[in-house]
Amino acid sequence: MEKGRTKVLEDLADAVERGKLPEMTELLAKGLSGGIRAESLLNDGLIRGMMRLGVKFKNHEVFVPDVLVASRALKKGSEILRPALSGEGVAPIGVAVVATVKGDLHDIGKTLVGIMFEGVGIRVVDLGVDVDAETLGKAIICHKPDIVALSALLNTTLNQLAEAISALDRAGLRRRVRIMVGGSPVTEEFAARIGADGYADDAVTAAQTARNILEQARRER
Amino acid sequence: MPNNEALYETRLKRFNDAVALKEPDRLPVAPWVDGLPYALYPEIGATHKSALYDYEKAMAAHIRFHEEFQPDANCTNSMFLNGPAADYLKPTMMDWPGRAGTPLPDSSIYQMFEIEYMKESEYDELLADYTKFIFNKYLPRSFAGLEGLSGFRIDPSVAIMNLPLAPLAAPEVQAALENLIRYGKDQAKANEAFGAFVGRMIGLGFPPVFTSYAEAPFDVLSDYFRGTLGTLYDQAERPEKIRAACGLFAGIQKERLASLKDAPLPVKRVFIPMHKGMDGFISDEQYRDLYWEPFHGILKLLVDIGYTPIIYTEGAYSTRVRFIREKLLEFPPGSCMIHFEKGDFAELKKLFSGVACIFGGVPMQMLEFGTRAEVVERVKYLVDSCAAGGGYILDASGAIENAKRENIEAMFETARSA
Ligand code: B12
Repeated sequence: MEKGRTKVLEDLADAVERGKLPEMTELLAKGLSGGIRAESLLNDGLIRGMMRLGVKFKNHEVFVPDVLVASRALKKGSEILRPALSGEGVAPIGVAVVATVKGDLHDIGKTLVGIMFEGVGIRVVDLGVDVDAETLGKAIICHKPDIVALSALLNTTLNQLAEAISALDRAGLRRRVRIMVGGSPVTEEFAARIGADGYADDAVTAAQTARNILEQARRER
Repeated sequence: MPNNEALYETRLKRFNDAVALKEPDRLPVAPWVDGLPYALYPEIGATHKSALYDYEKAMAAHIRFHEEFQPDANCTNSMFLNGPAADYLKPTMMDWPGRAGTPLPDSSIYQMFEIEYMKESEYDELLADYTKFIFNKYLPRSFAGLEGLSGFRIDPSVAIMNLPLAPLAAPEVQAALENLIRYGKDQAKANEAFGAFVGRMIGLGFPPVFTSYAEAPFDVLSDYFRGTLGTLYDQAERPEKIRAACGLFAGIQKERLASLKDAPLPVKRVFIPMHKGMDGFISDEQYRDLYWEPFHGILKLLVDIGYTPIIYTEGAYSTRVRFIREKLLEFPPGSCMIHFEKGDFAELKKLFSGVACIFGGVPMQMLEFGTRAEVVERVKYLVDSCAAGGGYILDASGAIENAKRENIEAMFETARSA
């Protein structure tokens, strides 16, 4: 049985990594009926596959299309497991709201950040692009995220990152969340200067940083 | 003081020498500008909106910029897009300053966004009949003012008298066709104004950088048909359709470009922006097969008819440059120019030496947010590592929207005193 279990989890990780939806669905059914805990199917199967893919993406071994296709599998897999997971009392390690700032329509970097967040077990609420501070504030109240991740790709929308942070501050919401910023023109110094809590150069590092932030927050509590 | 005509000749030769990989009399400095002249001379009152609706005013700002900084070419990048025509054609793939109800300020450049104008299930329709797809689906989707074209069909059955043309009785079809005619007339005026601007700049001594444009077929598909995201999924799920569509687009573009052969243009260079081929977006194999292969035919045609393609990369290209160099080696040395937004310029210069003229190098972020000292240091580095022997033109990492005046001054002064 143990060997069968390891094989199912390994195949599952592999199916996510290669974005093979039907294969993954079949393996999940097999795992669940074989008595593997949903938590393990998620963490040691699906998420492990996504993490492996993330590392390969960072090293230029796989490319954006591979990540998108894999993320579709991961999403579907998480949906399939959701009832079993709540039966086991398993909750995601944290919640993140991701968005591209007001005036900016660049979607892909932000979407990849969301995908990699999900790939480390964070539940993601994606608000899309061109998101103003008011919408952000409402989402914080409604979804109670631990992390807000904001993306900006244009020199002309860089200041919207600062604008969003100060608007959340004025609305008394700033201290409820950790704010991460990124996007190609954003630098670490810029992130520090505008009072963000985290920055990363790429989506994989962003997810690791988010995990560290969540762990640190847990220790502080 | 040399007169403008002499200046024109000197500058043109300087630029051409650098492109031909010969040592120019001095380093050509030609930073492309978008909104910068509007920002530098607020007293003129020009904005991006003027570039769409008030050509005279926009022109005044660009002329002032060139007179003040004396670059080695006409560096005005985007101008004279047809604002009034956009008001009735109503393109759905962009917003622009001056559109009724736009949230954009007048100072904003037009803003492209992407819509899937062609669904993943429609590749076969496009491939089977390009013209039908363009008329009945693509144009109605991409211009609200052309929606009526979806009903524009010529039915040859019972072809008595003029019956095949009967669909033209529909008011929506007529409205769309009227908009097309109206556009044609307006565009002729815009072309004339743009021609006059180029002519005036030549009179002032500034040769144009390019006189036509083209786009890699893969980018055409991604930018205007499937969207970036849609194309990324297609790369994984239906690459053979991408290949077929790119072949189709390449053929159509080549027909247009071939007609430039004997056009009486002051310079023969074609601007080609590279949008979706950067590191990470596409695997090496797909880059070769889907991106470069159909594009290469366009390059070859241009080189064959005596034009210099200006390959304008956007984003990081570190994983691509060696491959691109190999491909450019198929042409005579100095046939192409290639712009880089990012990368180690000392390395790039070495890599492309004897192959193609590179340009770029001063980060836009530095010009806008950095210090004078940083700009001086950067330009010195570029001069030291790239200028010798030709094959390099000093430019920013992209067309400049905004910058500190002192940084622009530092860029020109340092490049010229070196
Ligand atoms: C695709 C694209 C578009 C598409 C976007 C389609 C879409 N669905 O997203 C379209 C055509 C709509 C577009 C429009 C425009 N664009 Co554009 N676009 C690009 C392009 C080619 C790729 C962007 C991209 O997807 N990159 C890939 C992703 C994976 O990278 P990324 O976004 O940087 O994200 C990574 C990291 O930055 C990080 N990250 C991202 N977000 C976050 C967030 C957090 C919290 C963290 C931690 C990390 C992080 O992780 C990501 C993955 O590893 C870039 C070129 C480039 N060099 O990037 C230009 C570029 C960004 N665009 C540019 C411009 C100027 C425009 C337009 C103004 C052009 C115009 N006049 O219309 C419009 C503006 C529209 C608007 N209001 O937003 C310029 C910006 C220059 C500047 N710095 O100001 C660029 C750099 C091109 C250039 N060289 O001129 N664009």
